[in-house]
This record gives sequence, C-alpha cells and structure tokens, in this order.
Amino acid sequence: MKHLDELTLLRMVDGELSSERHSSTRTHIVDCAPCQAGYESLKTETELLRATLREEEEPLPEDLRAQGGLLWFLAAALVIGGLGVSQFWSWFVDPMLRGMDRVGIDGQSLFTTVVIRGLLFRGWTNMVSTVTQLALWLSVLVALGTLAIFAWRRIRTSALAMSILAVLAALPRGAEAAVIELEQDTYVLPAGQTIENDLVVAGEIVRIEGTVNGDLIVAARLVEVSGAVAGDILGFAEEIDMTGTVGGNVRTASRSLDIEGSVERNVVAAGEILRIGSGAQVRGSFTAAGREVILGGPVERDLLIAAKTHRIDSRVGGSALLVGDELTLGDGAVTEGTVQFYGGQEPVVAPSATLASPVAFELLEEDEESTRLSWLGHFMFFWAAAFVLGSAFALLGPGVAEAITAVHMPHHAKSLLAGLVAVGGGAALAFGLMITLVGLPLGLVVLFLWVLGLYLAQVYAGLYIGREILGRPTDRSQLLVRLAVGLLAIHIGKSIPYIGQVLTVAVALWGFGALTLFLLDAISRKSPPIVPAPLPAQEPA
Amino acid sequence: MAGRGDLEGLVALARAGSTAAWGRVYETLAPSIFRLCRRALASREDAEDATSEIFLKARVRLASYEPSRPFAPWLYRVAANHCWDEIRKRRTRAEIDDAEPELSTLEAEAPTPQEAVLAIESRDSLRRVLSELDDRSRLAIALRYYADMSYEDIGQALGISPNFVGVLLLRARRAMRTRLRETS
Repeated sequence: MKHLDELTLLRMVDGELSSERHSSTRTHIVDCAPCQAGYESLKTETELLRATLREEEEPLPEDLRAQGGLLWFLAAALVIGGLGVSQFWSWFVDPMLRGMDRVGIDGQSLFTTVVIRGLLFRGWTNMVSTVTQLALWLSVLVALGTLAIFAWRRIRTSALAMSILAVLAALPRGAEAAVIELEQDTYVLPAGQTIENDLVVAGEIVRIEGTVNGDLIVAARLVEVSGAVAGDILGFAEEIDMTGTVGGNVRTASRSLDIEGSVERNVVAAGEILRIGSGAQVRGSFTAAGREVILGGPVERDLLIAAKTHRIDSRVGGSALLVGDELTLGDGAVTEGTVQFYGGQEPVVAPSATLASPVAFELLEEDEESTRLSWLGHFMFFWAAAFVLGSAFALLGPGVAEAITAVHMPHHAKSLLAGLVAVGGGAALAFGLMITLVGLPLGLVVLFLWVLGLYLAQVYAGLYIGREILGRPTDRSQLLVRLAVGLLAIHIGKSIPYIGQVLTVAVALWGFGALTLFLLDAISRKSPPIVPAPLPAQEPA
Repeated sequence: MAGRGDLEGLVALARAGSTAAWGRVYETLAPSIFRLCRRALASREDAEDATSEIFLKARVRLASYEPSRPFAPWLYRVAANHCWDEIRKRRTRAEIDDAEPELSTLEAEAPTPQEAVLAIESRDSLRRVLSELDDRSRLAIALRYYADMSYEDIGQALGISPNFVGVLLLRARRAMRTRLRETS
C-alpha cells in the first residue's frame, strides 16, 4: 500500500483537506499503522507549537497599554479654545457686527464685510508670517485631499446630491437654463436684441447693448453694460463700465468699476477704483472695498465702505460706516443718516455739504489692530495653524509620522547633527541654484521644500513630544491628541523669552534632521544595492 | 476580556465613530496582536511599532470590515499583511526568499514518524529554534498556530497559494526538527 506523504498528513492535522480527501485519508490512516503514527506525531507537534506560541511569556508593554488622559486634555483644549474664540469675538466679530447693525446690514453681507475688514487689516502682515500663510493654504489643500481619501466613502450619495443642490441653489437662479457664451473673444449683445434668460459670458471684451431678462454673469477684461439687465450682474473683470439699467443687484470684483446707470437694488464691489458717477442712481445700499471710492451719484440706502480714500459728493439716503484713511464730503454731499468714519485723518467736510448730523470720527491708530491681538491671539493662531497642517500630514502618512517619531527622533544628537547639515545644505543649495539664473525655478522649488521642511520639523517634534507625554497612539484620534499636546508644549516653550528662541532653533534642526534621515532611509530602501541574483536554494535532503 | 458578541458590538460602535469603543477593542485585542507580532517579527521594538500601526490601519480600514463576520480573524488578516509588509520593507529583496517553495521534494517523501516528533526538552528551546527560522517561515508558523488562520488567508497575506502555505509550514517544521536534533 502506498503511504501518505507528510504534506497530506499535515493538511489533515491542520484541517485543510477537502471533505472528500479528508474522509479517504482518514480511512487510510485507520488501516495503516505507519501513517497513523505519522499523523499522531504531527498532531502532537502541532499541539506543542500551539502551546508554546500561546504562552504568555511577555505582557503587553506599558507604552502599548490604552492611554487615558483624553478627557483632561479635551477639557483643557476646550477652555483654551473657548478663550481664544471669545477673544476673537470681542476684538473682531462683535464690533463689526455692531457696526453693521448700525448701518442696517443683515447677516447676509457678513462674509463680504469680513473680507473687507480683512483687506484693510494692517495688522495681518505683522501677525501672520509668510511661512504660516503658506502653510495654511497648503494645509487647506492637504486637508481637502485627506478628506477626499479618508471620508469619501462616508459621504453618502444623498449627502453629495444635497450638497450639489445647495450649490446650485446658491448660484443665481436658472443658471442651468442660461445662455452660455464662452467661445468668443469679443461678445456683443447688440441693441434691440433680447435674451429671455440668464446670460453667462466670458471673453476679452463683453458689451451688453441689448436686454438680458435674467441675470448676467460675466468674466472678461473689459465689460460694458449699456443695455438693460433685469436680474443681477455678477462680474469679474479688469474694468467694468455700467451705463445701462440693472433691475437687481450689482456684485463685482474688478480693478475699476464705473457706474453711470441705474441699479434698482444693492451694489457690492471690490476693486481698486470704484466710482458711482453723477449720472448713476443706486436704489439700494453700496458696500465696497477698494483703494479709492468715489460717490458722485445718489445712493438711497446705507453705505459700508472700506477704502484708503473716500469721496462723497451726492445724496446718501441711509447711514454710512466708512473705514479707511481719508474722507472728503464734497459740496454736493447730502446725508440723511449718521456718518461714522474710522480713519487715519480728520474728515474734510465742504461748507455746503448737508449732513443730518456731524461726522462721528474715530482715529484709527496705525498699530491698534496688532496690539489688540495680544499674546494669546498669536499663540492660538500659530498653534492652530501648526496643528491643522500637522494633522493633515500625520493622517496622510501615519506610517511616515510613526517612522520619523519612533525611529529617527529618539536619536536626538544624530537628528540634530543631520538637521544642522541639512538646514545649512538645503539653504546653500537653494541659493546656489537661484543665483545661477538657469537653476532659478529649481532653486525656488528647493527653497519651498526647505521652508516646508522647517515648518514640518515642529510638527514631527510635537508628535514625538506628545508621544513621550501620553504614550504611543493607538488610533488616529489619539495621534491627533498627541500632536496637539506636543505642539502646545513646543509653543509654550517657544514663548519663553530668550530660551524660546534657542528652543525654536533646536526644534527646527532636530525635526528637520529626523525628516532628512527618514527621507535618506526611504531612498536607500527603494533602491537596494545591486546584488548578484541568488543561486537557487538547495532543498535540504 | 470581552466575549465575542461584546467585541462585535464594540466594533460596530467604533465603526459609527466612537473612540471609546475602539479603545475597548484595543484593550481586548492588543495583547494578542502584540504577541503575534512578537512571534512574527525579529525584535521587540518592531513588534511594538507593528502593534500600534496595525490598530491605526485597522481603524482606517474599518469600513471594509464585514460586520456579520467575527472581528478577530479580520484583524489578524490586517496584522498578517502588515507584518509581511514590514518584513519585506526591512530586508532588501535578495535577503527574502519569497519564491514559492518546491513541492516535489516534499511530496515524494514517505512519513518518518520517529523524526516527525520534535525532540523537545523545553519550550525555551522550541522558542529558540522558532526565532531562528527565516522571516517568512516564522510568520507563517505564527499565523497558523498562534492566530489560527487558514492556509487560504495566510496565502493571501504572503502572496502565495494555499498549497504552498502547507509546504512552507512543513519545511519550517522540518528545519526546526533538524535544528533541535543538532543542538540536543
């Protein structure tokens, strides 16, 4: 009788034979003593292996045990976050809301106002370093990417459909049925012609001499509207000249806007020179952000304007809230509501200007904004920025974060040294490339990566410190908690006078070094040393 | 330790986004996963790193887990894939034997019962020879006899056919027997 081979017996022991094969093998084993002995010994061996492997000779290491401490951290984060938000609210949002309330603007224009205030906000350049701005924008992109990767499956079809509907609803009505003209360099709607629908048009020059019985959405270098638009105008251009009539609102972003026609509702404009000419008639309010705003024609309702120079030479039916540097109220100025001016200079009021009440003037100190945003504001901002960017990177590559923080960062001296070499070398390389004009683009790329690396250095350092404080993370939320705690520790350290600067440099070098070591490691892994092909292994007899 | 039903309930909560539930899942299964990694990977540090990374990966992939099936085997499969990735990452290609083992040499042989028994003096010596196995064989043994994974699942993790998993296991056992005989 042919004996069973050992592999079959092993599969039998491991329960890996098909039922048919299993029963025939069993029958054979019962009748064949050597095979039965082989089967039994394999079974014994298996039991032995199992028992040995399952022996608990080593407990779970301390730093792998699930960590508590989440609650106190969340509580602390909430308190700090709450403080930050309340500060932000009382410094920034609340005065603005009150200001808007005074000029009778409802919440709909909140966004516009925030943007306008932001444009004028001189403190920004001091407060936000270029690096952080860069990092913020980058982090927004990365965060969107992360969302797409991790959360895509969670975005239900219905949610997606709802979002699309919401976006469509936010678009001017009837956009789907609009007349769309995007092919021509110069688009002219001749006088006498009527479009019974919305018109979406893009080109070099767009002239509307006829009638649009819907909204006009236009993007061009030069836009001239001398005809009639029954709905709103939404325009993006270098220059917009409006001499016709508009039944709805005019909303534009352009270098210059010149209105000489009539607008039945409101005008919201951002640009450099914004002018409502003497021939114009605005029945609603005028909200603007620009360098120079000139009001030559009447505005029936309120003004909310942020500009360097304001000139008002016409009737204003509502009240005015003006922010900027200079304000001139000309001979033709007639105001029926209050005029409030926050500016750098006393307003100039012509003798024959007719004002319902004197201009309420408040001097804006050059540095007032930045001193208002005190230490805590700075602190919160930089911490939050680093956290947002850090989470994006940590979530995109948990393995990378793990490798950097667990493998390279613990070698403090080695990382610091590598950081010193890499930071110096990176800068030298970038500038070396940039001074040879040929390498300029490459130099800029190197410089960008160098800056990004320096910024990321604190992220990984924060992650490492967080791990040291709270232990190894076991899931993504714990990873983020560690990141937040570590970054908090770093930012607190950085804010200590003198020591903080040393610490900043040390963290940058240490993190940059670990990042460099990781990259070198990854590169050397990807291209293993060339080795001769191994000879076929000899099976032991 | 939570019972089976409890565990799947916790996993369902974790899938719905509960961090606390995932913490409990971790507490329940981390010791087993750590021990698997400890058996499968070369060093204690590697095993620690692997354990936390496996749970990170598992949480990310939780959406692909089929809730009607038991959770632990699914987690073991994640662990198996991760360990094999780690092993491959840490060695250059020349160092790992990831070819399919030769079947013929094994199948032709008749059973030799007296040799089939491992000459064991102590579990310590068995652990020692286990640790001396090549990475892939050690992983396969750990997956089969510690994690109770089927040949099919092991094969999927290692990228070989289920048949060859049997060959790999048998060859590993023979290597262990030879080592034990040599040292005793």
